[in-house]
Amino acid sequence: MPAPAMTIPSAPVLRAERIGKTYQGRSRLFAQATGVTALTDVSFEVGPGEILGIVGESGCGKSTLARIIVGLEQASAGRLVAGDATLVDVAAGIFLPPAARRIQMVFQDPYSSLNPRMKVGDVVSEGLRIAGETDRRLLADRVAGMLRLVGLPAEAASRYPFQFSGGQRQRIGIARALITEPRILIADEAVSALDVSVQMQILNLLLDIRDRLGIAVLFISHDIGVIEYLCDKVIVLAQGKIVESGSADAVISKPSHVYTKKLIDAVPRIQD
Amino acid sequence: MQAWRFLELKFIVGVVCLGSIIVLALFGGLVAGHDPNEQNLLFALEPPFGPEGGYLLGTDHLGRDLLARMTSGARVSLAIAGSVVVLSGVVGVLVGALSGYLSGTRDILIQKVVETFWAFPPILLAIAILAFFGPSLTNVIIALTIQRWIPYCRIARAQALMLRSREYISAAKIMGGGTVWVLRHHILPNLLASAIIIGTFTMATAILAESSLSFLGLGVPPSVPTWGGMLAEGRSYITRAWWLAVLPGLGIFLTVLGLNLLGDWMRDQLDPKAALNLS
Amino acid sequence: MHDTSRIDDAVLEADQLSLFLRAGRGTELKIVDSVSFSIARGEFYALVGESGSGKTVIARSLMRLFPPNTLRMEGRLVVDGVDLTTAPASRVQRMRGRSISMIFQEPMTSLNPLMTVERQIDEAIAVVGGMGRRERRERVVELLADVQFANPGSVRSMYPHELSGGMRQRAMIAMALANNPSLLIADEPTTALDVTIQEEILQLLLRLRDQHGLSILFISHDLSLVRRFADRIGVLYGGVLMETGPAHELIDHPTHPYSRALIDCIPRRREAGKRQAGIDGLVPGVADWFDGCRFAPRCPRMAEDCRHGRIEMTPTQPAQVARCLHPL
Repeated sequence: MPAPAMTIPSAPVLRAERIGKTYQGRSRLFAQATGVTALTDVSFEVGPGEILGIVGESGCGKSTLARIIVGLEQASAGRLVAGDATLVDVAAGIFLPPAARRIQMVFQDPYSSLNPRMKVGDVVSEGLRIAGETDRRLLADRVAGMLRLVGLPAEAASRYPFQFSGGQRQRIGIARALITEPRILIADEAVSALDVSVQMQILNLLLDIRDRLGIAVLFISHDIGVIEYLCDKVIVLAQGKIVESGSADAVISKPSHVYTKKLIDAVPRIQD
Repeated sequence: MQAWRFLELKFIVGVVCLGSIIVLALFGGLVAGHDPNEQNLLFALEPPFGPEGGYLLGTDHLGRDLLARMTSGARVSLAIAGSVVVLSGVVGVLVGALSGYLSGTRDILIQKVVETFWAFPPILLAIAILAFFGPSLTNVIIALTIQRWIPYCRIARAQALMLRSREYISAAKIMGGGTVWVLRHHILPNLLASAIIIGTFTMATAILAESSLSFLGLGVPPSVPTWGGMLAEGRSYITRAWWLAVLPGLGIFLTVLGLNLLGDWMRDQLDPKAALNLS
Repeated sequence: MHDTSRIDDAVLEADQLSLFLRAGRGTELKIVDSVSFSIARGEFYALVGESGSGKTVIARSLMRLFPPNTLRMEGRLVVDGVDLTTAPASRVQRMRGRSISMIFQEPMTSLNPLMTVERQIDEAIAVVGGMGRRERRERVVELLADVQFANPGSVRSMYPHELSGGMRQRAMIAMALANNPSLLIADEPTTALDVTIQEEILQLLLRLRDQHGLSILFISHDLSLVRRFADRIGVLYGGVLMETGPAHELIDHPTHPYSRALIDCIPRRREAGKRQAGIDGLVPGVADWFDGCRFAPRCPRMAEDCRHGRIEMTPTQPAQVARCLHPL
C-alpha cells in the first residue's frame, strides 16, 4: 500500500534544508571568476516508505541535487539530515563520505551503469566487497537473495551484463543498490531509456520494493505520467529552484505555478 | 567478405613469421651442435648448407656456427623485448590510468612529465643512458623502457578519462570505493585489450632498437651474440659472405613483421576503437 | 495483400517489404517481414514500436543509409513513383533531399560544428544547383522563417553549439526542407528534447505539412504523442506490422492485443494499492524469430492456431487492419 504520506507525522528519513550549489568559474587573466548557480534554497522532506518525485526539464538541477544527496558532489549551502544523522552541513563543514550516508542510486543508462567486464554476481556484491566482506559463501547468498528480490533467477550471477536486456539490466542495477541496505534509494531517470512495456515492470518493481522494505525513494524524472503513477509527493524544479510541491495528485491535477501548468500541458495523455 | 580473408591472412603470415623465430630460439641450439662462441678457423666463412663441417647455416669469419649464433640472437632479442614490453606496459598503464582517472591538476602535472620524456629522440636517449651506465642486459632493458611506457600511458589516460564518467564508476564511489578500488576493478580490466595491442607494436620497436644498439656496440656485452652485433660484424664481409649480414637481418625482419601483423590483427579483432590514432 | 489503406495519391507505398541485414559469412537476418503501408500526400503517418521492432531500419532503408551490400530489400518500396528496391544507387542518391529528407533524434550529430547555420543550409540548396548566390541567400532566410525562427537574420550566422536543442532541430528541419521534398522522415526527432520543446517542434511539423503538402513519416515509441499528432499509425512488433489505422481510432479502440497491451502500459494515475500490468516476457530477438504470431508468447488471447503459419492482415474496423486471428 502506498503510504498516506501527508497524514502520518513520522520523522522524515531525509530532510534537505536550503540546499544550494554554485559552480565556481575559473578566474582568467583579466576577468573575475563568475559562478553559475545550479541550485538555490532547495528544501524538502521524505518520510519512511515514501516516494518523492523530482520533476523538471533538462538543466533544472535535478541531477545535481541527486549527486549532492549521494555525495558525488558537494553542496555550497544548506543542510542534509537523515534520521538523526547529519549528512551534510555546509556551515559546519560536515560532509559525510558517500558510503556512510546509506543512500544508493539507480542510474539512467542500463548500458553504462554496469561494468561490461564484471559478472553480474560481482556487480551486485560490489557494495559488500568494498565494505570488506570476503566470505564467498555469504556474498553468493546475499547476491542470490537480491536477485530474487528484483525478479531475476539466481543463475544470473554467473553471467555477464551483455547477456541481459535493458530492463533486466535495470533490475541488476537495483539489486546492486539495495544490497548494502540503504535507507534511501535515488532513481535518476531510471526508466526513461526503457521500452514502455518494460518500463511498467520496473515501476512496479520499485513499488514492490518500497512496500516490502519500507525504503524511501527519490524518483527523478521528466515524465509526468511516470511520476503520477509512482510518486506520493512531488517537487517541481525550474532553474534550480522549487517552484511547486505537494502531493502528486494535487500538483498534477491542479498545478498552481505557471511553469508546472506548461509542463503538464505539454505532455500528451491518453484519456481513459 | 574480402576484408575477412585479409584479416585471416594477416594472422597466418604473422604466426608463421613469429613462430619460426620462436622455434629457432627454443630448438635451434639442439640442431646446431656447436657452442655459439666456439671458433674453428679451418671452417671460416663456410656458406649455408656448405659441404664441410656440418654447419647448417654456415660460419662467420672466425669459423663460429651461424645457426648457434642466430639462436642466441633470437633468445637475447626476445628476452630483452619481452622484458621491455612488460615493464613499460605496467608502468605506462598504471601512470596513465591514474592520471586520467584523477584528472585535473594532478593529471596536468603527470602529463608534463610524460611530455618531457617524449621530447628526447628515443635512440639518442638510449645511447646516452648506455654510454653513461655501461652496457649490460639490465641497462639495455632500462634504456629501452624509459620511453616505451609513454604510448601505453597516453592511451590508458585517454581511456580512463572516458571511463571515469561511466555510471558504474559513480555507483562504486557511492558505495565507498576509493581510487585504488575503482582503478583495480573498473579501469584497469577495461584497459587490458588495448595494452596487449600496444604491446605487440612496442615489442617490434624494442627489437629494432635493441639491434641498433648492438650494431653500434652499445648493447649487451660482446660475448653474447646478438643479431645487431652479428650484423655489424658481417657488414665488412658483405661482398664475400652475404649470409653473415643477411641471416641476422632476416631474423630481425621476420620478428618485426610477425609482431606488426599480429598486432594489427589483434587490433581488428579485439577492439577496433581502442588504439585508434592515439599512439 | 489486404491493405484497406491503399490510396491513389500515395507519396510512399511499401508493399510486402522485407529487409534483410547481411551479417557476414553469407548469413542474412530478416529484420523486417512483409510490411505494407502507404502514406498519402500531406499525411502525417507514424510508425510506432519498441526497440527491435524494425521501425528505424525501415526509415533508414528509405534513405539507403546503410553501407553498400549490407541491406537487401524484397517486395516494393515506392516513393514518388520510384521503386527503391530496384532503383540504381545513383537514382536513389538524386532522390535524397529532393524527394525524401530525414531528420534525426540528435541534431548535433548531423550538423557540422564548424559551419554556420547559413552555410549548412546553403550547401544543401547548392547540391541541387540551379540557383544563384543571391537567390540561395534569400532562400535560406525564407527557410529559417519557415521553421519559425523569430529572427532568421541573426540565427543565420550562428554555429550549432550556440543553438539550444530545440533550435538545432529547427535548423535541421530547415535543411531537410531546403529542396522541397515530398516526404520527410522524422526518426524520433523529439526524444532528446524537453517536453515543452517537443510540443513546439511537433506543432511546427504539422504547420509545414499543411502549408507545403508535406508527407511525414514519423518514427516514435510514444503512443500518447502519436495519438495527438498523427493522422494514421502503424504498430510494429518484431519486424512485423501488427495493426494500422487512423490514430485516434487505433489508440482508443485497438483491435490487436499487442496494441492494447502497449496502450495499457502507458503509466497514468494509480488508485491506491492497484497496479497497472506491464507486458510479461521479452521482445523476441531478430536471431530467434519463429513461425506464427510474434506476439503470441506474451499474448493473453493466445490460442493454438497462433503458433503456426503466416497470419495475414485482416480488416477489423472500417479503417483498421490487424494481423491477428483473435482480434479484440
